[in-house]
Formats: sequence, C-alpha cells, structure tokens
Amino acid sequence: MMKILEVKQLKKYFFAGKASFLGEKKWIPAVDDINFDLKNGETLGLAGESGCGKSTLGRTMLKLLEPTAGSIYFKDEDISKKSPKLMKPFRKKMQMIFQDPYASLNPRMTIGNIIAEPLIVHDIIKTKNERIKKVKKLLEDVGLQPNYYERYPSEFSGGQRQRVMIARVLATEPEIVIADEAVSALDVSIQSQILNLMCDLQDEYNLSYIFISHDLGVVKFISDRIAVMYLGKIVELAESNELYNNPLHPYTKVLLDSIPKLENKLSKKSNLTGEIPSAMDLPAGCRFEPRCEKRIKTCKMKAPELKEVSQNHFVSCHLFEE
Amino acid sequence: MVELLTVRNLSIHFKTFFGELKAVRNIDFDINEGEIVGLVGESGCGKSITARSILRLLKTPPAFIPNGEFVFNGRTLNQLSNEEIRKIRGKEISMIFQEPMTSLNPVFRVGEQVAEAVLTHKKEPKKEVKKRVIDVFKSVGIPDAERRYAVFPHQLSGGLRQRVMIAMALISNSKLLIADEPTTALDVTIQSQILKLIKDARDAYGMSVLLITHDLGVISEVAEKVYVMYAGKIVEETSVEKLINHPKHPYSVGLINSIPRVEQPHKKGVRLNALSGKVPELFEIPIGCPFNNRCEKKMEICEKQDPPLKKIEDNNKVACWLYNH
Repeated sequence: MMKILEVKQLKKYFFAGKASFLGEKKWIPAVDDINFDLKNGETLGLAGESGCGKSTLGRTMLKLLEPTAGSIYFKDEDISKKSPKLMKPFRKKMQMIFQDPYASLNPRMTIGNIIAEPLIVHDIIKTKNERIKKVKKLLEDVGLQPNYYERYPSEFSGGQRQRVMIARVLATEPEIVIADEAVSALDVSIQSQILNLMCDLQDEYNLSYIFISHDLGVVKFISDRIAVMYLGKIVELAESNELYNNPLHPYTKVLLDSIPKLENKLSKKSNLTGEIPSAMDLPAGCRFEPRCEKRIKTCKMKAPELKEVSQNHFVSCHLFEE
Repeated sequence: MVELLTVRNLSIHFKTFFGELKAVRNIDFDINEGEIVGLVGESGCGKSITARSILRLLKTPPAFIPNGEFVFNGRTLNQLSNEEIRKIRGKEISMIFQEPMTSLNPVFRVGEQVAEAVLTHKKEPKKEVKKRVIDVFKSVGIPDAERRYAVFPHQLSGGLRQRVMIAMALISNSKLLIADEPTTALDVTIQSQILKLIKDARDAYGMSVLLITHDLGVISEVAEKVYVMYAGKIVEETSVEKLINHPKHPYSVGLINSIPRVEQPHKKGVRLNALSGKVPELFEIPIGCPFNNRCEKKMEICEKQDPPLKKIEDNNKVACWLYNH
C-alpha cells in the first residue's frame, strides 16, 4: 500500500517561561521525536491518557501548530516548512473533526452555509446553485435530511452536529481526516452510529483516518494499526489485534488492563500506581520509569528508542533491546 | 439482606417556559446494606436528578417532587425538615460528583475541608480530627498525607481530588455513598484505581454505594445490582451478570450491543449494532412506551400504553410488553 503521510522526527515544544530574567528557557516537550506513516485507506489510532500529546500531535501534523523540528511528508512532499499561503492546497486534502460539536459550529450560520464555506474558501464550486446541490448531497451522505439546509446548529442534537461537522470535512474531498476525540462527547448509542458512519464514509470516499481517542475500545474497533503514546512519545505501535493480544510495553499492558470490560471483575487486575509526572519535570531516562514495575538499571539513565521487535510491531522499551 | 434505602413512586418534574417537564416518572428502587447498586443510562435520562433528589439537592423551583417517598434506615426523609436533612447530608449519606474541582472549595485547604465534614456534625478537638483526616488520607492512597493535608485543591490532580472526596465520605462513616459519575473525568488507569478504592471501602466499612454512570464497563466491574434508566423511567432491574449476558429490555440489549468491545478482534468492514434514533427530549417523549420510536420489536400496544415494571424471574424486572402477558 502507498504511504499517504509520513512523519519523521516530529517535535513540538511549548515555551514555558524562564526561571529568571537571565535564566534558562524552559520547554515542554509535548510531542517529542515522533516517527510513523499512514497508508492509503488505512485507519491509524492514537491512544493515550490525557496530557500524553496525542491531540498536539494531531494538530501539529495539520500545521495548526507550527512544528518545532522534524518533517511531515504528504505524498513525498514536505509540508512542515511551508508558509500558510503555500499550505492552502494541502489544507483541502487534510481535514480535522473536533471533539466538541457544540463549540466547533458557528451558532449564527445555517448548517448549509457552514458546509458550503470550505467550498467557497477553496474555490471548489463557483455558482451558488451548484453549491446548494453539493451541500444537500453531503447532508444525505452523512445521514441527515437535505431540507435541514436552512436550520441553525442550535436545532440539532450532539450526534447530528457531529454529522454536520463530518459533512463539512467531506466538502473539500480530503484524503486524510484527523478525528480528534470525535465520538467522546456522545452517548454510547449515538457514538456507535457515528463510528458506523465513519467506517461507511471511509469506503465511499477512500479516506485515511488518524483516529485520536482515549477510549481503547473505540480505538480498537476502528483502527487497523494503533500507536500508544505516553508523555509525548510513542511507546508502542502495532496492528490492532497484535497490540491487544500481545502487548509488549509495560505501559500498554497496564493501560489495556485498566479498561473496564464487560466480562471482567475488578479483582483480577494489575493496577498502575502513581500518576503521570509533570511534563515540566520529566524523568531523565525512560519517561515511564517511575511508574514501571519492570524497570531495570538502564531505564533511569537512557531513554529507549522505538524499535521493530517483530514484523510491524514497534516498541520503545529497554526490555526488548538486545 | 437489610434494606438501607427504599424509594417508592418517585416523580420529579420541572416547571419551565414550555410547561411542566416530567423528568422522572414513578420510579422505585432499593439499596441494601453493603450493596453496590448501579444506575445507568444515557444523558438526559434522569439518573443524576434522581440521585440528587435523595439528599434534597435539587433547586426548587424549577424542580419539584409531586410524589415519592424515601425511606432511609427506617426514617422517612420526606417528613424531615431542612434542618434535619442537613444532619444526614455528609454524615449518613455522602455524595461525590463527576468533577471534583467544582465540589471542593478552592480557597480552603483540602484537609480542613475534610475535617469540616466531621466538625459540622460533632464537636471534637481539632488536633484529633486532623490526625483522623491524615489516617483516612493514607487509607484512600494519598501519598505524602501529612503534607497533602495543607494543600489547596488546585495543587492536586484530578485523581487525588477524587480521593479527597472519597476520604470525606469515609471519615464520617457514611452508610450510603452516592457517586455521580465519579470516574468520568479521569483517565482509565486512574479510573481503575478509584473504582478499586470504592470497592475496598465497601468491603472494609460495609458502606452501601449508589453508582451513577453512563459507562456499562464501570458498572460491570463494581456493581452487583443494576437499574437501567431511559427517558425518566426504570426500564430494567437486574443483576450485573444478567444484564451483560442476557439483557431483556430492547433498550438494554441495544445499549450492550452498541459498545465497541475490547475483547472482540478488529476486522475491517465490521459495523456496530447501533441503536437507531436518539434519546427523546423531555417534551417529546412518545405516548405509550417511551422507547417505542427506537424499538425494533415494537407492537401495537407499545404505542398506547406504558408498560409497568414487572418481575419476570428472580432479581429481574422489566418494563416491556414483550415480557408482560
């Protein structure tokens, strides 16, 4: 399969002030040295707890945040250093679905105008009548009635708003869609409807998804491959079933164990102690070392690198290095 | 088993611009001593206001309770004055909320807030109370408890704040803990720590717990008995095992099926068995069974009459005409 997106040594550091006037600048490494690729028509899941950098990574990939270092290849073209003006044709090809459907739709625009806006901005359809026709088709594609065209966002429920959002994303006929917690704000019965819709649209429009979520059940359902992040780094990357059946990194193991499962009682579980350290004050070696049960001497001194241990299964842990 | 709280025929209405909204309609439920009871449902089904009504925490108006009886530990809560209810709040019945930051006062030290829960109800020497608070902090797994006594809520993480709230319930030896979405704002690894803590507290102190959540996974891990709510009604009362393996009400079935399960392998092209439609708004609840507009097994009677909650086997009651001959 063809690679549609490749990320190499991507970094995003946030400036966090100085200790004193002449003091050293402090940085928060929200995304630190990330490498992965996305294949055409594939869904890549980004999983991790809050503060692990998964949303920052999603935004940096689209250049909604300026990367600190590294490169982002969209079909062999490096977009990481392109100016906003030169980015415009790429924006059309890479779109994003946001978490909160109440915050991401302008309450003073009709649904029709919201979906038509990218068509105007990117100059895709020039006449108004054609645009209305296209918007109506999009509304139908996402499971809404075309005559909702003139209604306002306030008239819709959360699930319907998320459908509007997806229709807007599809308007520019993107190739990559980054879904940042797209179903987290929805009730379970609505969540499953939106997940099914996203799967249907992937086939219909030949989309590649990057699906960011903290819900590991949802990530597994939709993703072909999954990257688990912890404090700005990918700790493990593997195909979905392989990752869930054979997790290698100690963090992935605990994370999978902590998911509330329907046929599982609490007593059997291994529990993670402690909490995520502050990103301002990271451990010098492996970032998971203070909470890890299997730490060895090297862990405190040196940060491990992401290495392929079996086919298509990457782990960043000293336990799996020769 | 001894019944600790029984709620009979409870309705909660809201007076609004659009008229009277019947948010909760004639529900019954029981909590036995030492039992963890789950109340699940999607947003807007009335689960949170049901919980709040027990401690009279609803703002009246707009809310009012046209009918309903709460019997807690042999006392009828309805007949108590506000003064008497206040003596029960935080002492015999404690409550923890979804977002611990909004339920702790930001300008007081957390240790003092926990101590206050003791001191409002009983005069005790402050030093002794402080010692007890630190002991409870240790038992709920707050590291560095002596120092943490004197910190402010914003200095703690979400998981630690929720632990402080639980400490508050434990220190007053509450008989009932009402936990309203206690882990929804937390990460999975912290969530499983907090759930374990709630379960351990039950085992150690014999406290009963009413756990309100939308997450069936959470329910199945800690609860024993479950009430499924839909549009202001209890549609099924069952044990956790039965709910997961043999849900009866079509809504319970739909809810269980629509969850992406971690145990199932990923396969391209597979779709979830999603429920169609959405939860009705309170002013548009259909006549007859409230679920009839989304139900696949709808019959004629469903559009005319609301089915009563009826016992169909041991520990299992369902409000559905399919089981009601």
